[in-house]
Amino acid sequence: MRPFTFATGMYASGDWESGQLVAAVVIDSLARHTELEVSPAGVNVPIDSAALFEYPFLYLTGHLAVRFSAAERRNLLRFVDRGGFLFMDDHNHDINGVFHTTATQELTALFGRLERIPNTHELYRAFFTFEDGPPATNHEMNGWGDNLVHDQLLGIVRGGRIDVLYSNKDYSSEWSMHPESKRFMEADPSRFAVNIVVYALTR
Amino acid sequence: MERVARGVALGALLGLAILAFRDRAAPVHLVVRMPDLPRALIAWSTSTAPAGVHVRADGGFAPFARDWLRALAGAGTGVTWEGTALVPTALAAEPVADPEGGTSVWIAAPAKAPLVVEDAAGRLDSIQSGTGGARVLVRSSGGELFARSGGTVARSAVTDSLVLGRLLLLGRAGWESKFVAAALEERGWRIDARLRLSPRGDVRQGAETVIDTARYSAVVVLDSIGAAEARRVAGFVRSGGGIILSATALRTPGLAGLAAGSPGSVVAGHEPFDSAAGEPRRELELIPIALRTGSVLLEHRDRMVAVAARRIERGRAVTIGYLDTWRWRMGGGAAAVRAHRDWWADLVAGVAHSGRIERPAGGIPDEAPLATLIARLGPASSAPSLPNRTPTVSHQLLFAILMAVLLAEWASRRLRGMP
Repeated sequence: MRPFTFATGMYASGDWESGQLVAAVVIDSLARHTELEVSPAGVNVPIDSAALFEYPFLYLTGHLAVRFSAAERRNLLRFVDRGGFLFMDDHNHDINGVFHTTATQELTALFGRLERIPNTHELYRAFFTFEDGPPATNHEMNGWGDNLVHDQLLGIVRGGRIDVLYSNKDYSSEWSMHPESKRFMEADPSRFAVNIVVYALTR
Repeated sequence: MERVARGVALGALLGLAILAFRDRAAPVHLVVRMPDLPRALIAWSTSTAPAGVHVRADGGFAPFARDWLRALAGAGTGVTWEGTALVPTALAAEPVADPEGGTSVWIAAPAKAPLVVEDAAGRLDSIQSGTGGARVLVRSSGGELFARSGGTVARSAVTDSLVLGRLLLLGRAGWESKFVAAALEERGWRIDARLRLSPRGDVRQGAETVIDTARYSAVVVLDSIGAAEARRVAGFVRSGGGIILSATALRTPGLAGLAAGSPGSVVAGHEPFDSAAGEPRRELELIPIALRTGSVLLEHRDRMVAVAARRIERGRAVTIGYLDTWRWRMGGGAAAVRAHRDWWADLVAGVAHSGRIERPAGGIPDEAPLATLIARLGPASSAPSLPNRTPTVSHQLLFAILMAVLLAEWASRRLRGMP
């Protein structure tokens, strides 16, 4: 059986590569906390390529405006329709920043209106328990970006399952570190990533 | 002289009368064509039956006509038949263990025979028979089914409804378990799952109950499992449950004994998956299976066994050599999601344990009409030669004798007294 591979999506517009440390941190957390078979390194995959369908978990991030090409849109639609899980995170942590505005426009055009994921959703109990919903990031707590704590994630829910998860909490910054740095922290900040991956793999 | 002539004439008259009577009562042999058969059967059954009948069939015999002729034969009438348009055809229909329902129809017919499958509403499918007949899956799950070939119509009906249990998915959390569960749930199966995830606990879906045929129709094992659970699964299969084993599940010692064979070395597939591939499962990695005695090959790739089945006491087991079938669903062509779902549903249907509820059958089954016809009336034959109905004494000769003696008597009277 193929191991789980963390795939970062490459899109033509914007800066898809802005969260290049995220994969290592998430893989580290999966390996620490679960028995999942996990590829030791993530992959970067062009979202307009056939290779996209080899990785049913796709992470997209960036700071800049997002405008998908026709081929990217076609592939993303098919990817989600086939059962792939798309996690998109705003690296800016801005409520009306350029990434948030354009990314949500693109997602809405592709999949319909994003809805608020209730903080009691099983996503928050898929592995670790997050009683208050999505964990706050240091950027939120320190008042950076839009100076708001975004208390809910957004998503596209179909058939009772989250197919697309959208965050503007800037987990991409929260999880951008060297995995060894976690040992100096009170709690692993990427535990919520384990929940997202386990949810994608089991629901 | 007159007295002699009168005596001869009276004798001839008596002889003619006897012959006429004997002719009336004499047995006859008749040749009948199919359209006239129903009316003829009524006539033969309400008046004197003929000594023999020969039926020329240009279509199939209706079951009632076949039985009626058999009854006539039992009553002493010789019955023979012939028919070149009759194709040896047999039909069997069984409900499929699939939440979507459906009926599996097996048709035995000569190779390349055109076959039409129908139900009461009309045509369902038309196919050509292969060397081993034909199998058709029809979504119609009730009422009568017909297989028509040439002039023969075989008729059957599904007489049971199936009661399906749940499926139990075992193994490790991963893409294969996720997409197999999704495919089978989309098909309508209710699924319990126990998937290994971490020392903190497994992913569990559904109630924690014993693994028995009261709750489960089949178990799908996609990866190695614990020894205790393997023992419970083996007991479930031996008691009549079904199992689908991935080749990677055979690493569990307790499961290897249930497999249709032993796993070989991994054969690479293609990456990325070619969505235009004509045979999408060729894109997948494969662990070929070395068949064990008594196992049946279900699918092969090149010369390697990809899917095989075997019976284990009261249960059935399928072993799958393909790895990561989720890649087919994600990366295949436009029909891949449905094809992946159908493929998995077919495998499960092949092993699933199901309860049966009898239901009234409509109509009279006639599953092998030509075989039944031969069993009832014997094999086809050409029309028998009719018995010689020429009288031993010619009626014309008797008439000539009669006329001659009457003339002699008349002449004798006229010439009476002449020198």
